[in-house]
Amino acid sequence: MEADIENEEDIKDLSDNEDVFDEKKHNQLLDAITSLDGNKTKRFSHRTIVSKEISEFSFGKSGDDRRVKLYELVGTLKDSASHGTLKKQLKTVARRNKVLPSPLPRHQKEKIERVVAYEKTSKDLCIWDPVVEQNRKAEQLKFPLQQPSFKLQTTDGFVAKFQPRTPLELEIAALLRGSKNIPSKKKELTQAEKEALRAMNLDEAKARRAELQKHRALLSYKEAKSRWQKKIKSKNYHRHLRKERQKKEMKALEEMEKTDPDAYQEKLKQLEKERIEERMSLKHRGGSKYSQKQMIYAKYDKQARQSVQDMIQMSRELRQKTIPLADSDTESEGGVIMDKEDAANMEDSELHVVDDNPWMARPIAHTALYKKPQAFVSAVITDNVNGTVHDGEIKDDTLINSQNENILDDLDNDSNDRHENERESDITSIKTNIEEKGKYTKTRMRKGSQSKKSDLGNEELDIETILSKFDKIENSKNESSETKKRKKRKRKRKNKKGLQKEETTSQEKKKKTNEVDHEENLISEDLQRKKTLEEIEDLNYGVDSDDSQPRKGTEDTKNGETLKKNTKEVYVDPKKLFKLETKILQTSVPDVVSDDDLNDDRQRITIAQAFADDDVIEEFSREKREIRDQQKPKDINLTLPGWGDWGGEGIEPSKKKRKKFTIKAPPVPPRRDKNLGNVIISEAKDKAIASHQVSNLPFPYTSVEQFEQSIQAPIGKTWVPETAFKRLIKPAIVTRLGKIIDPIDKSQVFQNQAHTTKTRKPSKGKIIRATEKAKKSNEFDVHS
Amino acid sequence: MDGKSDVKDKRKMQYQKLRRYFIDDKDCREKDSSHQTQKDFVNDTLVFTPYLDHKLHNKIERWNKKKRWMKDPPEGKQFKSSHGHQNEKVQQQKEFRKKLDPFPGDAPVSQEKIKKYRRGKKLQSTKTRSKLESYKLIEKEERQSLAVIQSARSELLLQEEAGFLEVEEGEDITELTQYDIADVVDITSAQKFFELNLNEFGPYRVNYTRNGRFLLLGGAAGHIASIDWLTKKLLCEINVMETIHDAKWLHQETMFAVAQKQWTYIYDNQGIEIHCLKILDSVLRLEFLPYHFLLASSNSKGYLSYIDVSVGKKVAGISTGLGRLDVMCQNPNNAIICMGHPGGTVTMWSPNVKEPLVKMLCHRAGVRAIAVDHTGQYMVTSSIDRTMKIWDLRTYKIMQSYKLGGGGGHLAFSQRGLIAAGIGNIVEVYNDCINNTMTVPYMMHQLQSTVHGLQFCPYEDVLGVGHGAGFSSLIIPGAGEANYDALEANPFQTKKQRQEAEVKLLLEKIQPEMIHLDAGRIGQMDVKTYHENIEKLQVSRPNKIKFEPKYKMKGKSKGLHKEHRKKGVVEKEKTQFIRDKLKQKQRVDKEKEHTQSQTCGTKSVLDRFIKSAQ
Repeated sequence: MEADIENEEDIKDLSDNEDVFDEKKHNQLLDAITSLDGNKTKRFSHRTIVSKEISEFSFGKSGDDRRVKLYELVGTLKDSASHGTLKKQLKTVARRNKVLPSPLPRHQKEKIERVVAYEKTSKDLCIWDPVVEQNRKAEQLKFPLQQPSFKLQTTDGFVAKFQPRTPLELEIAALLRGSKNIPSKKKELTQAEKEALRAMNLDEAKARRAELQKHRALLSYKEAKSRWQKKIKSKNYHRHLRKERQKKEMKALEEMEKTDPDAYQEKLKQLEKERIEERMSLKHRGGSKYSQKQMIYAKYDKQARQSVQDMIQMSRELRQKTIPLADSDTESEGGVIMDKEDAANMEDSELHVVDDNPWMARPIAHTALYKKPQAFVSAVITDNVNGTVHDGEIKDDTLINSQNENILDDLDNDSNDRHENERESDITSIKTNIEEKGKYTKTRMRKGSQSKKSDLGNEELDIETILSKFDKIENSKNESSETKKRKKRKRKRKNKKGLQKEETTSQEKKKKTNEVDHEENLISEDLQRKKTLEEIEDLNYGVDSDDSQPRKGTEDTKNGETLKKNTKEVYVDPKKLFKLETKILQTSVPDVVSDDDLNDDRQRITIAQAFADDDVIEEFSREKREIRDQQKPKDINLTLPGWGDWGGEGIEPSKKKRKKFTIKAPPVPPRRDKNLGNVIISEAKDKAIASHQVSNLPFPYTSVEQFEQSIQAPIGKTWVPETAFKRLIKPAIVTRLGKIIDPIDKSQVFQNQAHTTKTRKPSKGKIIRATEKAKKSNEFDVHS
Repeated sequence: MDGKSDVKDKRKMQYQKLRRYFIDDKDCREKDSSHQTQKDFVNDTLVFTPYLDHKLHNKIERWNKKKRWMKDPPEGKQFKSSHGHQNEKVQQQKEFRKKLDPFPGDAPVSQEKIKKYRRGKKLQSTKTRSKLESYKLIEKEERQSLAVIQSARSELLLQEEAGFLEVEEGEDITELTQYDIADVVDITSAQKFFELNLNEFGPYRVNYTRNGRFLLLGGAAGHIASIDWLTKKLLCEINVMETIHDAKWLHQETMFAVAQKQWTYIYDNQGIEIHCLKILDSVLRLEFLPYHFLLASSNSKGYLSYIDVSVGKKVAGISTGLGRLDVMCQNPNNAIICMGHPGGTVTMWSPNVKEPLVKMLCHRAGVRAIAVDHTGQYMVTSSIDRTMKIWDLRTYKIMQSYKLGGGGGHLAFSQRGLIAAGIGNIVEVYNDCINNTMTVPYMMHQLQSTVHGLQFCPYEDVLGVGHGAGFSSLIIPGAGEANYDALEANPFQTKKQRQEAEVKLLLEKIQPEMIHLDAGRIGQMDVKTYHENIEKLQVSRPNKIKFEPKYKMKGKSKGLHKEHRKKGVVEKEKTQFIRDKLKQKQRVDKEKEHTQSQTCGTKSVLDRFIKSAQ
């Protein structure tokens, strides 16, 4: 402490500031006093730099986070009489006491803003999620995504959409809707028709209905006809049509003269007026531009000439004075008599009129309309274009048809008979053939058997040689006892199995003869014995086959069974392969051409002798062994002779040492041909195919198996039907060349969605409304 | 009063109806905790929703089950509908539909047929790297199964039936001669039995095109003739004035290869020599692999060579060291060449491996003939010891063994599994002799001289036999495939179709590297390299260190202290490991740089002292 004081004194001396010194000293004293309690209070450190301005840090206690209150600052104002306005203001401020919080630092503020903005935008973008998902999942996307529909609007479609708006339209719609005669597509009959039917009795109704159907059909025919007539471009045809129409008009006029003279007069006046107008104009007399041109062309063009002629004719006709014809009746009647009669018939067949149904109304005014359809019907029936075929003709036709049919039938029958006859004759001929053949075969068979016998003799010889050979092989090759034991065990097992199977088969076939039992016993013995037995069987078979046919079959089956068993053997040793009995084909071999060497007995024996020496099997097994050994990794011997031991010639390192210093080769995975005696399968890696194989698992797959499954199914047209192929190779994205792909249009996408939701929702809405209603009604009930 | 009460009643009714509706609705909701109303249940078909959520899947399943149950409930459990009228309406609609179409929807396809066309298992779609992808996999599977169903359905179009031979009781089937058959069958079929007497130019080799329309005859004395055998129209006929060992059509009837005395030649359909292949000398047998465009040839010096016919390049040449190779055939399933040897062995070869893929000991004596069926399952061999054996090529085990009268010098498989054997001057045909043991041949025909070439005509019930005195075309009912696939091999091909098919064949040509014993290998992943790659990718981590601190007195072995010590050691090891790794990496990088700089040829001052190679 003293030293400190001394130091301080030095400083003070240097600074020559006594006031400060005093203050400091005073502070130190105060500290000393306060520290007497034992409590260490933190003291605010003073700045020692001298300055005129008083440091603000020295105010108040540092540890205290007490805020400065307003009254503390302004407390002194209370006493003073001046500063009245200021006091007032301060008062109001104190009363309100609503102080804004201090603004956050910029970076914090921005951070918060960013967070909020992110949330908002992600919420906004959320609506796109389903759209994006849909597009990503889509099997095929066709760009541009919003494609205009090029559907042609049908009249039906338009009508269905049409909504009446104007008062006129509304009125018409009301009329139409109100009518009971509007046919609907779904129902066969209109409302009115139904009512009419209801009003009638059943028979009548049926008849009437048939009538109606006929009528409608006729109408549709008419419609169709007029449609195609409209399309006809022939001028000639139209001229005819026009003339006909004119004629009709004339006729109508005549009729009008009788029935309605006033109208007739008016009509005449009208005609007169037309005539006058025609006379006035130069329309048909070379006045128009068209006719002038035609006149110029007429010199060279036949058609133009014709058209000019026509025009002149037309003008002449038009300018002619209309003279009412009195004798036209007689002229016109001839052609239409039939029709009229028909019409009358039809009228007769009409049923009672029902007022409100137009179909029921007696078609007085439409007789003309009736006439044509009649003709149509006939046309339809006979497929005649003229459409004026008499009933008689039709009948004739049908007659002819029926006759034709009869004739055809007859013809058929004849042919059938002939065929039958032929067949019969064929059959008889075949029978005779067969009989002949039978004889032939019999003779053949005998021959065959003879040859077989000789064959068998040879076979015996062969077998003997083979047997001797096998014996040799077995003797020469001393197999280890262990393997032998194993084989024995195997054989036993097999035999057991064989026995069981044999038993089951025998049970099935129910052939419990002694012979079979005997056979079973023999079969259960080892391979060689069995072989000999089969030989015996074959011999028997060869002898028997001549006299008894049915027995042959059983023998065959037996042979088959035994042989099958043979084939089921597993061959580890290649020798076993040749222990398998070769089956002699029981063929009725025809006499082979004598110059064929191979059939010669002597030759055969010599061949057998020739190949007796080269031991194919031994050679093969040796080769296999060699290959196996070659590919086996060898042990590495690291023993050093003489190291830590006696060395020199004739001294071998001890067994223990050898064992210690040999590095054993890792075990080899078993060869693929381990269990196949007669096969060497190369273990060499085929590296070539690796370049075409996939060596890394592609993206979405998680296992090799899964990937392999995904590529196992063929895609090509060669393996898959066309439709499936098209589906399999459907491109994921389709764009049109030169078509700009606009960014996805929000308004359109969500308009559609909104539409769909609107269409879906109403059911719910209805329910809600219904519940409300229900509630109300309930309330109503309660109240009442 | 009456009117009022009426109104009231009506309202009551309405209310009751509604109440019932809602109660039922609620019940329904309670039943399966779904928000769908009952009405929707009946009418709506649940469209497959793309969600892969397992729960949702289950839910959908439950819904569908329920729906089915409601449609036709099991006996005793009747579904009570709250809105009878609605149900009736549905019923009516159904009935209406019934009237329209008695067999609605697609025709059903039997499961067996579908199984036949299905390749492997269904695609696992649940485990993928993303949800969207698993959806896509499901879609893919759907498309593939559609293809399978379509294929199964289109089997309906295969209307043709295979021929067969039937004799009346007591008659021996082998006694039937070709003349008998020709008498019985229709005229066009009868015309398929014919004989060409070509006595002068020695025994003939025979080859049909893949569509079975054209026939190539190669006489040993140099006579070559190509014939449209159905119309008997001669395409070309030449004499090469040399011994001919073999003649084979190439991919189409426009070209054929002939193995002559020294070289192999290629002629076009007019008999004009196009190429002389001097790479193929003293060839004895030719085989053409149509999908690979490879011409395989075996040599008298034991040399097997493959030539790519489309580009004219030699693909592979293997010296087998097995002596004269005069017995050869191809396995049509996997394009493996099989060869028979005098040691009784059969070897199988691909152009990619220099040693035989498989060596089988089939006979005790030399192999005279081999044939493999078109499925690649069965192989038939015949030997000098007069045996004929049938092998299963999947297991390399014997199926049947027969002893033939004279020993088969030539063998052929038909499309439907019939086997023809040329035994001296007799041709025998065996039916159903692979899985069952046959005792009697199916057919037999005797020729004027020994058989030299044998082939069944594809898509026809015809066996072509070349022999010393010419050629015989024999009718073998049930030999050929009855239905042909016009995209694969069209017997009635027009010129235009042929040209198009040629282009398509070339486009779909398979590379020779794809030839493998296992034909499906190409569809498998190269698992070995895949695993290697994975190992490479995996970041090497330091080994886990097992360190147990020693016990120390003075409270230093308290739990925390001990742990601290342990941690320190482990940390130290780790850092050391990482440091080592980094050093190693740096070294490798430096070396790389060094080598790069060397290869780049940045010149140093000392370069001038390097002696130039010249």
